[in-house]
Amino acid sequence: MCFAIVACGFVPRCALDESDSAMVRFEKILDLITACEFSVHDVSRVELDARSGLPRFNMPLELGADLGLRLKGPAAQRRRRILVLDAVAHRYDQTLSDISGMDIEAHGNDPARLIKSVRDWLNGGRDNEAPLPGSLAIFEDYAAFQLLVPDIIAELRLDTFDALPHSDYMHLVETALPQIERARDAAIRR
Amino acid sequence: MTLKPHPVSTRSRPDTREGWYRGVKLQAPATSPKTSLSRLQEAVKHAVAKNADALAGDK
Repeated sequence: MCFAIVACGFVPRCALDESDSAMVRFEKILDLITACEFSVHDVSRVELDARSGLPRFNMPLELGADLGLRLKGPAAQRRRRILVLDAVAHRYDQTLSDISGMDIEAHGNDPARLIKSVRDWLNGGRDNEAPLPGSLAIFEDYAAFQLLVPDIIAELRLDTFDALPHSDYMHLVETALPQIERARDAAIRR
Repeated sequence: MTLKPHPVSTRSRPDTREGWYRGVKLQAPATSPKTSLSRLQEAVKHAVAKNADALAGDK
């Protein structure tokens, strides 16, 4: 998801960005929500904790706070745009039925569908501006980036890509996208 | 996840301007990297060079 957002010219913000441990995590999230015009919530991320076996409800909590601001917050917050994603269509009818009737996109845990959902939603909010790159092009460049990952990991002397801090990942994507485009265009012109 | 918008240019491909991707001006991430930026840039540069043929064939 972050890859698609960066490719569309936006800056993803999430609690992982913030390093001030003195700040309560939920307060950080509220600060981020109120500072941004758009929000994306993927409720499929409600997963069972590996150790306790209990579900983690952070994502629905954040969605609830965001919807509260959107519906009943100050005027500036009522213009917010919110995209809700889930892996399975209409699963929220059973798990989060209070949001039934909202526009919720299903991605099926498929990166191509996720990229299309995010790109099309961001593109839909643009007035009198050139369209964003197509979702297929972004997906192809995502696949190209995945091709680079093993060498990036080796170069940075990491064991796995998961060991990479979120902020570093953001910088890698921002750095890699223009280079991937140039490498592919150069190949076409050969 | 929250995000901020940025304008898109109408310039045709290929876009060789620094920090542009498919006509979109990319924005710098909101927070500084933990690893030095030059090291991240070098890692990407080497990975792209090493995989140039694969990237070309991937199209």
